[in-house]
Amino acid sequence: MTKPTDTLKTYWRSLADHDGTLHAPADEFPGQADAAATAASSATLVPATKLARRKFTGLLGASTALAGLTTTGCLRKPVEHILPFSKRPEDMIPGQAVYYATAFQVGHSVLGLLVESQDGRPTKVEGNPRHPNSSGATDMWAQGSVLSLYDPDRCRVPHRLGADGKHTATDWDTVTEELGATLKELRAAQGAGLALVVPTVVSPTYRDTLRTFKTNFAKARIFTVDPTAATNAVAGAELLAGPGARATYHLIGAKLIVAFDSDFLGTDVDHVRLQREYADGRAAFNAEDAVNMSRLYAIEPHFTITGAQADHRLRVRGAEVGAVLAALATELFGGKGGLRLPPGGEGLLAALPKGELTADQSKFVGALARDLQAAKTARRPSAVIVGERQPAWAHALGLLINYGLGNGNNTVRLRQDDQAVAAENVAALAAGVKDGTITQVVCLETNPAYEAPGELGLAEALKGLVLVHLGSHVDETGKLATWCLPASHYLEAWGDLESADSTITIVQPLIAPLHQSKSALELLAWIASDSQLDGYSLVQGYWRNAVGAMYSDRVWRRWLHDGVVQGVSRAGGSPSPRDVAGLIAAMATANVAAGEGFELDFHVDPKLADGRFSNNGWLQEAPHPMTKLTWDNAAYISIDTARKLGVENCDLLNITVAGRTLQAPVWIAPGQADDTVSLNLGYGRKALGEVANGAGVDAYALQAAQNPWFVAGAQVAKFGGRRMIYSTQDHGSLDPGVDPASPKDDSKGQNPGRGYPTRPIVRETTVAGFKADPEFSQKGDLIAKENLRSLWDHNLHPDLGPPAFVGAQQWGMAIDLNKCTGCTACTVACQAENNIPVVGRSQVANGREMHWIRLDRYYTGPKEAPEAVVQPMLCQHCETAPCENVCPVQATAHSPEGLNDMAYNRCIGTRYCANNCPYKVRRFNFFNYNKDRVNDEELVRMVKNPDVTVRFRGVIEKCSYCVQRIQEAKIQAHVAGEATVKDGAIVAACQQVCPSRAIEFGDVADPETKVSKLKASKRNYGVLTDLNTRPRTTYLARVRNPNPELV
Amino acid sequence: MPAIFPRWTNKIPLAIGVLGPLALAGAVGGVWYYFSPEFTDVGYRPQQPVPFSHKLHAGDMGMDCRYCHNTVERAAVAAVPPAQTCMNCHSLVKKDSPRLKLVRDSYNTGEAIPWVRVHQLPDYAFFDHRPHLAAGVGCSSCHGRIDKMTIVEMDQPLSMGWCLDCHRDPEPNLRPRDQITNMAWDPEVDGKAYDAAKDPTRTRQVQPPEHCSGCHR
Repeated sequence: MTKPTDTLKTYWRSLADHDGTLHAPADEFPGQADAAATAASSATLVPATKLARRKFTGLLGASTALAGLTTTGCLRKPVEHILPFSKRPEDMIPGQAVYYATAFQVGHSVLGLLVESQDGRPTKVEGNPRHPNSSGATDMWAQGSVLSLYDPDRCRVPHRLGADGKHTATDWDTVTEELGATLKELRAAQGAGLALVVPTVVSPTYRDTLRTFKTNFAKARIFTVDPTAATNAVAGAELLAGPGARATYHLIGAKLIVAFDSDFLGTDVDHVRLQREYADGRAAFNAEDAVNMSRLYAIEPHFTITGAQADHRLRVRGAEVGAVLAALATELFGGKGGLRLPPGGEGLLAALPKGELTADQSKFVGALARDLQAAKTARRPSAVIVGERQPAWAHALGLLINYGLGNGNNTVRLRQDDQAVAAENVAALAAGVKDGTITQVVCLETNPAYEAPGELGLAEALKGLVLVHLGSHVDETGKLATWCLPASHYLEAWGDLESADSTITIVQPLIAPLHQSKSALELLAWIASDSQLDGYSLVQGYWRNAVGAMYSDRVWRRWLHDGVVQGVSRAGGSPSPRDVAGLIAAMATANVAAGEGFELDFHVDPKLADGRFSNNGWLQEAPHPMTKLTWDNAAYISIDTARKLGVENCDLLNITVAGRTLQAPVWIAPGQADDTVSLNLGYGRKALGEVANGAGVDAYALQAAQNPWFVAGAQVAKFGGRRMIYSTQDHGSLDPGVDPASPKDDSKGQNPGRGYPTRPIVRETTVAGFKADPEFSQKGDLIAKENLRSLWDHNLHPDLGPPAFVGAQQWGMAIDLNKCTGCTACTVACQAENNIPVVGRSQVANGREMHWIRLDRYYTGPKEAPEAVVQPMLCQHCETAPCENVCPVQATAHSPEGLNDMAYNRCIGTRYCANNCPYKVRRFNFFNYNKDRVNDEELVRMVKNPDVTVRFRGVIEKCSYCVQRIQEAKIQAHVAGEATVKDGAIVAACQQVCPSRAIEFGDVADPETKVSKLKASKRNYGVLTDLNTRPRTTYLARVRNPNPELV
Repeated sequence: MPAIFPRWTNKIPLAIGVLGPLALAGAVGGVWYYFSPEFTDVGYRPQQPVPFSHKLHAGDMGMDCRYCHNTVERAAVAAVPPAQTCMNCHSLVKKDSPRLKLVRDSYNTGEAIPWVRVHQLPDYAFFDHRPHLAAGVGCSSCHGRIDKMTIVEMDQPLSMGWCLDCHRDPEPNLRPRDQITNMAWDPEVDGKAYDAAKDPTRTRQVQPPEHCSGCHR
């Protein structure tokens, strides 16, 4: 028998799902016995209850009796005090949120922010729409950064290392006096033997202070240790275009994008802006627009979210990416009608490193080259983006290709950064430390003992040499430091940041330092010139000098208000890619051979970056965008490699490279290149904090010095033993046909009630398919729309009738699957906005994570090298919601405006609603998570949104469409005398954070709103509408744009 | 053999059978009725750290509510005024009164005066003053005749049922929006004469929410 879904692609969430070996989820919420089984094997933040039934009953009786003895139940609620200001600051309205503009930096990526302050507490980070690099959006890191401010494990007071090797608390006066004396001696010696280790510095004031430091400590050396920095990209641009050259990519109008090992949507520099520009290029309202969509090729070893977006993805080893790039250059520049090389580039073709490509790879490169040529001929801009993991010569070659294709000053722009302060790299630091030329090390917000490649052995070598460490935590370097000083969070400190496109923002604090901390800028200014100035005076003083007569208080206040410094010229010449000879020389040593043995690939973690967010519960618990792992990293290997090694998920691997060894648990990742092992950085912290400890393994230990990002020649073997790691990829399956006892295709009619046909949850097509069948998104319903019968027709009960949608406005959401990249920023933004607790590894293992947005990632196609689709799954606010009619206490009910309301104080925790929800989006508070230390420490409590109830044990919760924001907008409209809320006045937290603008929210009753217009697209479809749920959240089916030559 | 129990004891089972259920029903009914906020909360009158008299300020001297509670139209809460507001007058009037010592101390040291909250809603109920004022609900509708209270007390139960009574039928509690702080407005007299639907200053008609998320988020 044919089924409507037979013509659709099949999708799978995990290999077990693909192979039919996935155990059917017996229970959406496993009971205590199952929970205990998994909890026993994992470290736990929330103590798993091990109460036997008898004990439980006994306690229940005793507590009831005690409750009866006391009279607490009859007393009036506790007396609460109102503590008004003594003198209320002007314009301060208690209870009203205020937003301040500031900026945030990870590596070379700078995001302009607007941070929400609730009665003086920063609670939520949003993007600053005026800042071109964030344009209103942010990423997971920025969202999580506000929680780091309240991290209870932060270093709170200065510490000094005693003679016994232990730190003792001290104060800043002692620091100033005693450390000041040491520094005075160093200064007298012009800083001989002193090393200053700084992160990526893109702050004008910081750079100015560094120059002062250089003047006063002429013999001191400055080093940069920052794995998130765009080191290779900078080196590549300088190689080709001279010192100070910086290249930036701009995807506005780019019709063809090639990502060479570049996760430009996820972790590479300026990913927020690039994601927005990329997503704009993927807009396709109807089949005619779809033709103009951009096309994305990705060449990479590890499946990133950029690879998941790609129309064509080639999985190759990290070293071979260079070979593919060289082959592309050969195709493009060689032969007749090839691109023109700049003067002096004659020898380029001969100098290109040669790698051996397979027939498939050659075909891919040939098709790609022809596509790029065709784009050039048709004057359609393209962009070849080389990722940070690739060496400098690859970046330079990429630039050359881009300029050859005519993308210069369009999608690829070169500019001169003449403000940069020269700094050496971590290898030079290690060399200096080992040969004894460096005797004192000052680390400002850097952690070389942890972040240096393992080959350098810096952690050992630094012992006894670290004079000062300024950091948020007493981290690996801090433990070695004579003076371990607390650093101010960026929301506590003054500063400034210049983004890659020269946009400058003044970083203004939202709160006075919570602890006895100083900012890196303040400490550096003190070290450099004995300055006692605070951060404000330093930053303001710098700008007062820098802009001269233009400066006034009014201008300064304008800059602070807007979050963008206007009117400061940063034009530092326009470099051009001319030094091909230098590139040719650099390529002489390039090695693109696959190499012997296994290749180890290292990646900046999409969640924890380089480890700076290790102790951040929101980011630790966020599922990895592709593998959905939480609380751990893993050795990602391909299916073939796993078969070869004879390992399964969670088996420990012994990884050895050049004598360095690490045991890491396996996670078999579809799409991973064969014979490679990908490891994410930022895990394996020891004694850093309650959240970070015990999460994952430290991959830095395996890194090589020469090329920290990939190294060949590793030996990998099964180690024996397991380490349980947990992925949420199989949680909340919308597809019931996963019972191994019955095949998915139940055509023989056995196993009644089992073996359902696969549900058409994700729908997609190609550009050609869209043209051929504009109605594709409507195909596949298991019950045709015309056969759907409303349940309500037969129901004559007055109170249980259909919900009456009598509200003037009807709320709904549309999510464009063409734009959603699965970056997971929405999940964390939702967590921040809605006070969603962190539950810990053992609870995630039990399927009890509380995230209101689950980013479902589906694979499709061959399981070794599949394609992927992501679909954010959140409460669909069904008009005929199945959860509502099973609630015995009407704790969930419909509002007249179409919201599926949840009244926590009514919920008695039967969980019937969650069982009856076909989308599996309801979450249950099994424990009083909000009373756990990670969620309830006095400091952590400050991050809570006062507009949202903090839920108690035993209640269900789920996406509310950010009802607090809806109510606020309605109240404001009503106070203004308007009957309805204007379109765009309500922005849900997930919508606001989304760099892709994939989410629209608004009034679906008004055909003129943005959301209604989006829902009018032919691509619009509802998930599981054949269950007659009539969801208010609908999706716009994905359209891929493959190259016909490669299909 | 004489009877051990006197004859009247025969009526005990009957009495238990009849009175028992009655007593039980009485107890349940009593708790249900008398343990409601109308009886437990109305009249709650805590002593405040400063013997501030609303009767004197708002009543006898006729100060407008919004002189002190000036955020009421712009924020969810009608903030308790800072000590500075008190000192606007009391730096000149009664400037040495011992009863104002706490206010002067607060003004000088920055320490907050620990006022005791009188109108206390549960944390899961999100009340907002702004729409109520915009709709023309007077202060006295919920807070009572503050101008006659020397010590402020709860005048209304502020229970969910009480809120919903008005949300379902707001008309009797609406007044012209320039009369909101008028304590003397009498709903029985002035209210009967006022028809919100015909008020030309209103650009929208009041439609209070009755669904859960109107107040619970």
